Amino acid sequence: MNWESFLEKNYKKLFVVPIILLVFSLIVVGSFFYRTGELFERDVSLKGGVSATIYEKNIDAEKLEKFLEEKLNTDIFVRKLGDVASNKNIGVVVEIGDEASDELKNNIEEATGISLSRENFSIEVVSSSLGESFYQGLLKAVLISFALMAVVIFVAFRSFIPSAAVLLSAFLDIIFPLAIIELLGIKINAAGIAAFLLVIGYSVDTDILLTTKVLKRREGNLYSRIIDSAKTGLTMTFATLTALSVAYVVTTSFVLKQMFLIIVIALLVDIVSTYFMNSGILIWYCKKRGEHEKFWS
Amino acid sequence: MKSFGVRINLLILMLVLSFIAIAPKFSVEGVEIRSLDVVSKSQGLNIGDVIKSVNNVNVETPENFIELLKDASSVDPVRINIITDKNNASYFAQDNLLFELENLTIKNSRISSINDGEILKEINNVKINNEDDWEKIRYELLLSKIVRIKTEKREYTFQANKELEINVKEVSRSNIRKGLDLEGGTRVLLKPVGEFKATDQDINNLIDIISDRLDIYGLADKRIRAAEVGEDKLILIEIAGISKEEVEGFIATQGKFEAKIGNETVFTGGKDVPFVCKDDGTCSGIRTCNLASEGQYGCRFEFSIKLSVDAAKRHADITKNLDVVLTSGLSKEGYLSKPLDLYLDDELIDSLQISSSLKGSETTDILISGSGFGDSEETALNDAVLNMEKLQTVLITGSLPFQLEIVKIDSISPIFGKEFLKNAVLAGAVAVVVVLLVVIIRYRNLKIIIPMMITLLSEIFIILGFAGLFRWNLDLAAIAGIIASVGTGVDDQIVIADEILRGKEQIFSWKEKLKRAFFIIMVAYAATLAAMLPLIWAVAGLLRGFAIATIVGVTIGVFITRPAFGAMLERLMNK
Repeated sequence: MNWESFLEKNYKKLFVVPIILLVFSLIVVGSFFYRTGELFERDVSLKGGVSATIYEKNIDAEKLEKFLEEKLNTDIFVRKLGDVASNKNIGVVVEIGDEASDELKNNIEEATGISLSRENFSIEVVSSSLGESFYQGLLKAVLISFALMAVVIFVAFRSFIPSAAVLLSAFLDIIFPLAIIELLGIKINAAGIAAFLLVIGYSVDTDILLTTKVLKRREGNLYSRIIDSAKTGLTMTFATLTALSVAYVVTTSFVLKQMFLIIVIALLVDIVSTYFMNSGILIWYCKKRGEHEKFWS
Repeated sequence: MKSFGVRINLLILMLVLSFIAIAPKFSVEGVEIRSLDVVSKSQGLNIGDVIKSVNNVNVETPENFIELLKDASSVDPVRINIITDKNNASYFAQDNLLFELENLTIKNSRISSINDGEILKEINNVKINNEDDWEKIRYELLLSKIVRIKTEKREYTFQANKELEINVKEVSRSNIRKGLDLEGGTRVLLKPVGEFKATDQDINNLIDIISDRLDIYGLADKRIRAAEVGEDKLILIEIAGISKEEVEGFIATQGKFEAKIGNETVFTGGKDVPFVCKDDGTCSGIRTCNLASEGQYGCRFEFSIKLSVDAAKRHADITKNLDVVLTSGLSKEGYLSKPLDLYLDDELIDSLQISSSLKGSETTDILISGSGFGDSEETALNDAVLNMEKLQTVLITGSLPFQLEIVKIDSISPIFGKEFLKNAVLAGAVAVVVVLLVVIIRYRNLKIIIPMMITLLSEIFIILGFAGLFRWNLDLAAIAGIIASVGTGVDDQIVIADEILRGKEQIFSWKEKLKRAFFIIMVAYAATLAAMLPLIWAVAGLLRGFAIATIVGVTIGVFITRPAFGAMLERLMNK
């Protein structure tokens, strides 16, 4: 089957997919906001509290969590730290909402019977006021990033609808991973937000490619130019997608893992937002301008 | 020789410059000194020196150095049997006889059954009848070892009678510095709290004082800078190889020192005290250790300081009006009615009687003292040494103009760091291989795949070159940034390759094709730049490494490596 005629016949139907994803994401993020008053669940670095990592192989995470919860009488979150490459447990991470770091260390020692030293113990303590201002600062950074990126796009294409389509696509690329992260119950850290900034950069790459080909090229017809840009764009996306997916599996660092996960989800949805949504908008835009006849060869 | 054209030559030039900037050393020997104890410092060893051998045995790793140093300098305690005119005692001594001798009279005794003022008669079965007898034996009583430490510059030979404490790390193999999360250490964000809001000037003062304190403590491996978060001005400190407790106990304490008589302040730390005796046994040290109470030992330290003229005048004015309390009815000697009270952070640490001879005098020489406690003599001694060093540091640097609140502290274990680095490099390598597979499947043409790989690896290498040149600290976030910018690099190369390969029937010139590709690349570049720029200033610059790595990465890509990639393709495909 010919991709060009497929696209010509079905571009309106394809448009349904991004709309479903967009509505789905808005419902997930909106209901989360409604329930908690927050855009997403923040980890210690953005909220304040203590995150302690114990680098010992034989710790029972559930038992430790129970012990600490009874002892400290607050919500404690203990997760395992695994090395995927060797499929071994490396240690556990203990997170707690308030700043009782000394108590925490002693209690972990009591629960596990392991003496904690510089060699096997890392700790991060963030005051809640600082966590809050980090959070505010990073949200501001995301908004400024998005605004600056919007300026770049409008200057480059100088027409409203194609530029707005790029921004809408970038918006879906941000909100969909956010919704998935929320459904997975993952707490977002400072580096995670940095990953969303990278998503802005990655997301617009393929859209810029598409928009440039459609608006500024004269060879072939509208549909063949879209298919042509998809060939290039999908290669780009697959190269990055597979590389980061493998890196996600390999890395043991929680910071890197979260960054890679967010970008991988964003790249997946970017295929939909670019080729189902953005290209649809461009086809509609060109038809409306009545310029498309001009391009038939 | 045939020229490769401007764009490829520029790439080659950048690769050479990067190699120089990274300055990799392929074989490294020895270990680098991170901190020193008093003994080895006084011998002239410096932080940052590279130690090659200990007692002519080559040093290979920090672990190996610790063992060598222990073998070379640890000395077993010796049993000392001592008889005086009144008592006798038998005890173990290692680096110190636990008493001093003056005219054969015991002074500063730390032996429980021997008191000051007793006359030494016999030690380890040698009769002491005169000074000569003592001089003959005194240096033979304790064991000591000759330690030979060879650094890059010279050889140091000295006598040690206790284990030396030299903290070392691996010699860096290149100019690329590892960030805290890859090396281990502590990062603290401090917030000044006071009646007034801290100004930029205050922050700079604080940074100077903290920096001095760290220097005095022998912690040279540090980075301090101002950081802003929202409205707050903060101080960010990163110190390799130090634990959270040490930072809390030392850096963040305000260290407000006051010496008072009654309610009147005589002098404070800093500018009132132009000289503080430190690391010099003749005017500073632990003087006595005693069993203070059941199971509790106490050690007293003393060190001398010099007062400024102003402070000496204050001393004279205040003491002038004090009464003299005579120690006994017969002598004219005695003490003043009020003692000199020493406060550290508003806590009384010691109270000194003032000799009546100092009444109303503008004295500039003052002896400061204090104590340390513990449940054994050793712990009491360590506590006293720690308290003494803290007090000396505070007197030298003066107090911090603000109290400091720790708003964020991370402590990363060095073992973690090593694992993370290995793992991040592995993740990067795997990512490159996967990209290679994708482009092989897509293009099946070596003339495209090889230039692509050359470009990709060059980009990584040049980013590292920049890291070496500007002595960035490569942390996990920066590695993520490098991986991210390499990702966009691959994207752009695919755009270029497709633009060039596409429609051979078309009549566009090479120049035209590349120009078209570069419009897309430049817009994408500008968008990435726009997305990353705000991160340089956000969150106290903690993610600056990531933002800069990404920005530098994509900039190098757009202006150097990708044009070179275009040129490579042009040459290969045009044939």
